[in-house]
Amino acid sequence: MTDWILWRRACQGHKPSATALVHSLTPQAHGLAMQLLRKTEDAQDVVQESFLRLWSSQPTDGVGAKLSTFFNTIVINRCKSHLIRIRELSTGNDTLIDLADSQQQMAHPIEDDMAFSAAQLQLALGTLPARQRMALAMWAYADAQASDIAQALDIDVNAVHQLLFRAKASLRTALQGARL
Amino acid sequence: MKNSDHAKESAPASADAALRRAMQGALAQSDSNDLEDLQGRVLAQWEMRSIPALATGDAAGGTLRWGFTRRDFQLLAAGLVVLVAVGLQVLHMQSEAPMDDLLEPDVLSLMAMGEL
Repeated sequence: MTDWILWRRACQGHKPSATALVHSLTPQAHGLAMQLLRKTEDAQDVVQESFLRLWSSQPTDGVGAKLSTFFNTIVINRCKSHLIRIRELSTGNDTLIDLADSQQQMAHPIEDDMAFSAAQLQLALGTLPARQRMALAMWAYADAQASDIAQALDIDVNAVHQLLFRAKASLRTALQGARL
Repeated sequence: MKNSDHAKESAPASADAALRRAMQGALAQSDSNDLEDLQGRVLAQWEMRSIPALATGDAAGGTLRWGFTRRDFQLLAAGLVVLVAVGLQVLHMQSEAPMDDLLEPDVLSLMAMGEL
């Protein structure tokens, strides 16, 4: 049974489907929220809000996206709202933010054998600025294109490419540090 | 020459793909310990949202709470209306004065006749 069928049944009031869906989606959603928010209480609040959105959403499953990807998008959007609320993330072409992003340490040479745990990834992402974390999460977990990220962060597409380049480089550096 | 250019371009692309796969793999292994409370709260929210929606009945003949259907409630209401109507009719008939009482001469008539 696909997740979309479980979702439809859960929305119709079928408790076993809702339970199965909650158990399968919660760990990943919580991990993603922790990567972006870094605080357990905030991450748990965001996961609860995201499930409320999921039950009331009207997704078009004709696009072929997996439910988990769709749910990741909801979680990332809720995290973005939270980061803006606590003023850790601002959208728009902010020169100071661009400068801060560019001053991140550049990457060491790329390693091909990327393998790390969820904890190492969370630790490494935690060292990145909020905008880089957001861009990376949308790129890696929500199948977002540069135009989607540009719209979400209210910056132009060229700036997204630069942001993603710096974010990937910074993450690789942080991961190498985390694995030492 | 062309091949070397292509190799230069594809190297970062493959490295990016590897990074994305590694991130997805790591996220999929997220620790599910200590999430029982959170899952319980999420399910409680789902129930609060779902039960009222079901109680209002979103389709004719749909199953409502305690297994009753909308049609069951309609039949029950119709039965109650019939029962109340029959009861009122019985009460009304009981309250009507018997014919013998009506034929009895009243006090004024008796006085007029000089019997009182």
